[in-house]
Amino acid sequence: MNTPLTEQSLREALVTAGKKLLKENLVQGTWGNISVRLDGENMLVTPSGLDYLRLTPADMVKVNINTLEYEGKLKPTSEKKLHASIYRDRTDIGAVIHTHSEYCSIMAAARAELPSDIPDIRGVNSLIGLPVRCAGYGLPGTKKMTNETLKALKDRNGCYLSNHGAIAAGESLDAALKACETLESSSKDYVTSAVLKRSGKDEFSDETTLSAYIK
Amino acid sequence: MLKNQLIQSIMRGAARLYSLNLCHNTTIAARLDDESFLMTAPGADIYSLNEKDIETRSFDSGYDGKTPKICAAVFSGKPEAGAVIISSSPYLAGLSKLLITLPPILDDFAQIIGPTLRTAESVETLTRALKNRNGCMLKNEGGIVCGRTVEEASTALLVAEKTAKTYILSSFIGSPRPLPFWEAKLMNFIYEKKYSKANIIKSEQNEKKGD
Repeated sequence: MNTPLTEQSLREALVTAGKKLLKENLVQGTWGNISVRLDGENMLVTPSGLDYLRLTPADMVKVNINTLEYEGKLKPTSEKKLHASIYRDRTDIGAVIHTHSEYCSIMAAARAELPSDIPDIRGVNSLIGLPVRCAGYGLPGTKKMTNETLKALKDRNGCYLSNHGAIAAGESLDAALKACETLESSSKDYVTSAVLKRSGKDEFSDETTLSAYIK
Repeated sequence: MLKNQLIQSIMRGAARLYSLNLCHNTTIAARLDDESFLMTAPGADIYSLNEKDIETRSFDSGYDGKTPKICAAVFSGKPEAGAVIISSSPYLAGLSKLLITLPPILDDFAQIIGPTLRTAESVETLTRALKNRNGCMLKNEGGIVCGRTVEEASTALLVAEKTAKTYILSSFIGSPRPLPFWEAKLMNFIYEKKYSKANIIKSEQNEKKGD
């Protein structure tokens, strides 16, 4: 039987997750944000504009998912509305990660989806669901962006956000982290295989890409 | 800011660019006062930068080489710029050969750089290319970015190189889909007005702490 997680242990888990995202180059500086569902009414989110390396458990902000009211002096991430909407819409989700990671951003800039017929060596279909959709474009922080994201997340644990980045989710923080890593690495596989196909080379590199693009 | 503090901020900027793998033929410069600026010596390696590699240059002296001339042009043409970084990072250098204007395909690019990244054909046209932007490309050279502090300029370089890479790679899986131009301008306006004041205060606090 699983022991219910305490608020303090969730705060600590958010700090650890932030450092892990940074270490794996899935976020840089203060970009991206993470949240966990605390109870039926509240979530804990990373604060706005603080470096992941400096975050402490006490810095995590408790936000009401219905009213968006928050406790404490630190402001929650500016993407709090998006996180709260996902928790309201999807009771099965317990953690959400938003990143601007490199290869997810490439998919998002092309507003492309990760298709169902990829060689699914990383298990995207079981972790997230294929195809991974790209949410229609909306200005960050707007209702349109939120609605488009919820649509793209239907029956999925992740999606790309047009011209913005990606969302990965899961029933726990560990599951969301796994989905986040898998989405980035599978996006990289997809993009690099397209480059290799066009360039006729066997190995992916900046040089291969640039020469295939420029010629 | 005192000269010594500025030298330290250049050293921290170099360490940050090294950690981000953005040290390709890179120059970092910071405005000292109305008459002079500091810059990493032409040819100095960013990954092994020493304080002795940082030189003081006067705006009205002759320039022995292209990089001091570029820095002086940016500082003269953009009075709000406190720091400039010139970099031949792979994707900016690649795109600079094509004389294209990089469109706003990512929203962090629109916020931090501006609605587009133009390419200047020569040092003489740099100021025009940088108008209402925090960056541009210089034909066959790479990227030139600026900010009020070295930290802001290094963030601008990170975003510009990432966007150049995104632009090229997204063309292999479809085509890059730019944001509407006016929305990109709006994002840049909101970012500069709403968030930048807080960021520069935070940045100055970090400088004082020696972070």
